[in-house]
Amino acid sequence: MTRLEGIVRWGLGPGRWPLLAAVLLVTLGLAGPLAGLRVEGDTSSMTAVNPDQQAAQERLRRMFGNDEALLVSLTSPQLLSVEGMALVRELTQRIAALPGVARVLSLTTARQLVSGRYGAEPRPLVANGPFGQAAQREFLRAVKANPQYQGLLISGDLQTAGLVIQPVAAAGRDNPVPALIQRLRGLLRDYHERGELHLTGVGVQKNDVAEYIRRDQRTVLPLVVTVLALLLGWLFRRPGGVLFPLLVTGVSLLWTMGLFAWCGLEMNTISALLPPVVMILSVSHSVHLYHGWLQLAATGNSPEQARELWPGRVAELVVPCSFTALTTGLGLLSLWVSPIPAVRQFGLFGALGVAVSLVLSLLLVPIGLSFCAVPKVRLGSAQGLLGRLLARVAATSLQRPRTIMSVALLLLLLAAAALPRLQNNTRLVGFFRATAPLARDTAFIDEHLGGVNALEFMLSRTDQGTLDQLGDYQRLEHFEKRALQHPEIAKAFSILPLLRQVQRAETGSTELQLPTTVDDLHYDLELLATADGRDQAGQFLTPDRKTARMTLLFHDVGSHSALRVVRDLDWSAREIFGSAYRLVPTGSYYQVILDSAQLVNTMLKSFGLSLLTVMLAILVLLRSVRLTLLAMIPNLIPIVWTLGVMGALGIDLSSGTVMIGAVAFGLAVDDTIHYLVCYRRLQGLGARKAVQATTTGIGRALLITTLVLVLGFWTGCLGSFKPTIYFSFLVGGTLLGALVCDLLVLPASLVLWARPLREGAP
Amino acid sequence: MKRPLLLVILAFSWAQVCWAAPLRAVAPAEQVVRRVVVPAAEQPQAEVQIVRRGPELLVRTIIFSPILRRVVAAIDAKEAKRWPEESAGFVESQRYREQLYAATETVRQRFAERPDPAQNRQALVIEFLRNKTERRISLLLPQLAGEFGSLRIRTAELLQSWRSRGDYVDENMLEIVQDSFHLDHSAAAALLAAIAGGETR
Repeated sequence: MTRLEGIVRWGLGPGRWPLLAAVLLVTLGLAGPLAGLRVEGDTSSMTAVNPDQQAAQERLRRMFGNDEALLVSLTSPQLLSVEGMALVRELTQRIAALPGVARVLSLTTARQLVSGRYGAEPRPLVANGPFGQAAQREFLRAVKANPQYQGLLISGDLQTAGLVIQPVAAAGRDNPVPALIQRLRGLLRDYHERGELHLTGVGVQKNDVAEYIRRDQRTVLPLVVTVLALLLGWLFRRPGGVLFPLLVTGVSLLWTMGLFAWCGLEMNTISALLPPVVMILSVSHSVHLYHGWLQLAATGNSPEQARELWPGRVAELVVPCSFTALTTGLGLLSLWVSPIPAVRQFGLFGALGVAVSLVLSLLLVPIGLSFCAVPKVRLGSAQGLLGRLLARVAATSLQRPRTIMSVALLLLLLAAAALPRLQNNTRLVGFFRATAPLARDTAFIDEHLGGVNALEFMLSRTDQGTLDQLGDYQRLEHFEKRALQHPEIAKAFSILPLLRQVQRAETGSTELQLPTTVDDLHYDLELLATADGRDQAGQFLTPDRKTARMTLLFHDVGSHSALRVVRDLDWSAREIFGSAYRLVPTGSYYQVILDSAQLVNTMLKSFGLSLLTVMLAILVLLRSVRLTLLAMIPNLIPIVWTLGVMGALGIDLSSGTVMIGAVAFGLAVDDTIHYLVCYRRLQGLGARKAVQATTTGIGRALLITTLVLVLGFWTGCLGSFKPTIYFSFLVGGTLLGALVCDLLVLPASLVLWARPLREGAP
Repeated sequence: MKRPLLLVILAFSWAQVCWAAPLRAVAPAEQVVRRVVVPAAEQPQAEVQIVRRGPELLVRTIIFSPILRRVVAAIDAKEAKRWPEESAGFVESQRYREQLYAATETVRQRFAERPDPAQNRQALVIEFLRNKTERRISLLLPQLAGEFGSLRIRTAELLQSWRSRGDYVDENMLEIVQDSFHLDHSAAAALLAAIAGGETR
């Protein structure tokens, strides 16, 4: 009896009650923190930790106020009518009266500067009073003369009005935006018969993400449980085969998420994957243990013999189960190299979940079964079907190893050919399904009113001087022109349109152009700093005139295209501003672009780390370089296939899909380990016989665990976020591919390349 | 020899009179009894002073602003609102507004020719004056000393000065004091009466 078996015997004998009590205590202890688990109110954990960028964003907010405006659009064929404009006015007033709204910019609150006796005079864009024909003509003239409002407050076809809502600046629990969004949606419902209404903005994105996370937790988790229960019931056809794995799953989930909450973390779009992933991963060890229990009963042992052999069987399974847990955990832990906190949390707590589920499986399943009567096992139709299938598979791998390798290689080459089409691209709105209200609203507003993603720039002089020279603004104008040459950019907002307006009104000119003398510039700037212009100018130039802001509104193009534009703008900025100025890009959208640019790098690093650590673990377990290298073949091939499928289907690398390689590799290798451990045990029979016996012997357990994993992951396809849907689908697909490789490619490679066992080898 | 010398002396005297005529030394006897910075101390554009100068009571607005035209435009808008076409002071108001516009243009021209380009504020003084015999409005281009809260006229060029209707000037003085010192109509009237009667604080 080995030492391990001795420990197992104690655990299944006198130690079982203390162990069960300990499990119960920890479970109760972690239930409290779990009950208080919260969903993240913003998406801060979805962006990389970048102190410079965070400081820049904080500076931007401190100097220019809340940069997360909400946008409402109102579409009506009769917009330019008495009723239409009255509707815009009424909607504006009602929104402005909502708690949490600082101000609303709309057609009825916007002002233009006209030339008066004393120069620039502010006038409403839409005259007060009924919007008759004369007012309509005047309005059209005003819109033409004020292009900064076109595509923001009124669409090109003059049928859609935009309302820009500035929430009051407050963070954390005082943040009024979530409540404001609910009120806005309620308000907009009141008007749905009078026009087509849409709502979008960064605040709406954050709010909806939190809502969808809650919804997914409510719907996907019960579905995973149902799928697992049905699958286990079909495969084992016994209550114990369903109850024990589900018990381990439930307790593992409680422990993992309880620890997650205890660490003060909140759920986000990535960590929302943790509960289903932990549940799915928890099942596999229980399945192997329960399968081992059934095998004891099926091999003709009496109940007494089976009970006597059970601790030894558990001890036998501890090593492969521990190693598969280790490799899965290493795959997940490799995500720690990601700069995105949400991905790191997922990796860390996923690995923790695997460790917890291993411990709980090794405790609860053997102890639980030690209380149960030994079943009388007879092969069901599923097992018979599986047995026949496995025998056919084993025969194929023995008879046609070269054909199998050739087909695998061909598919590998095909997949590799599609790899260059794989690109890193993050579209925040693209995270939602096309039918989600936010996706629909954003697409509509983007199409009718211009861009929805704001890239921010802060311009200052390197000598800390004030921006009060003509050259400062001429350079900014040059940069603005360069930026607007990019079709991805819909609009540019800065102090420049205001300066041009003031200058035109002051000089009585018809042209919109910057001041041409320093005196004019100073006068215009002073004018904008007065009470009349302070609100607008203050959003783009600090009162001390040391920092100017430029906001570039991007169409909903995704980070891949945006990154190209940002790089081009960076080059332009160097050329235009030189070393006398500092132009700092910032804002939430910029952070998304930066993070996305690092995705390939993150994927390669995490996958490389996963590969290295898993290989080391297998090397330690098998103590054979050749077998370790052979073990890599059936696991690397499906990863390349998956990446090829992503490239071919145009699925972009995003914060969700970038995790596939590392996680799937860590999982897929589990079957290989189980296969090779069994193969090593039988290697003395010779490679062909060992392969035959391993495939037909352990193949059933591999099929069952993989099916459970695949279907469990695919349940995640019913979630709300595309990155998590793709993650679930592609990890499931990779595991399926890995299973095929484990049952065909690995045996074929063993037949072709494994060395015969030497005398005295372990 | 005597005639050319006499001509030179006459010419010099004439030139001195012509040169000095528009310049007026501020009477040393004047006393600034009340003053306030408008529209606010954080964003100063002008200072309103209530001044007693011997028997005269003045409400003086010293505009010292980088956006002179905007400030004058605000005064013009208030004036137009205060004295509509059917009101008794409309004609006087029209004259005041025209003179104010002309003075503003003069100040702008002088500002463009200033020797120190770093100086970005334009100055214009508006005085509403009353004494026992007349009511007068004066517009001056001053040289200022001190800062907001203690602005002082060192010298001033008289741009325009004219006698006006008593009720028009009195009402404007009241309105300016009311607006600038944030007083109601009766408190403003009482303040002006007290200062005219000799109160110094």
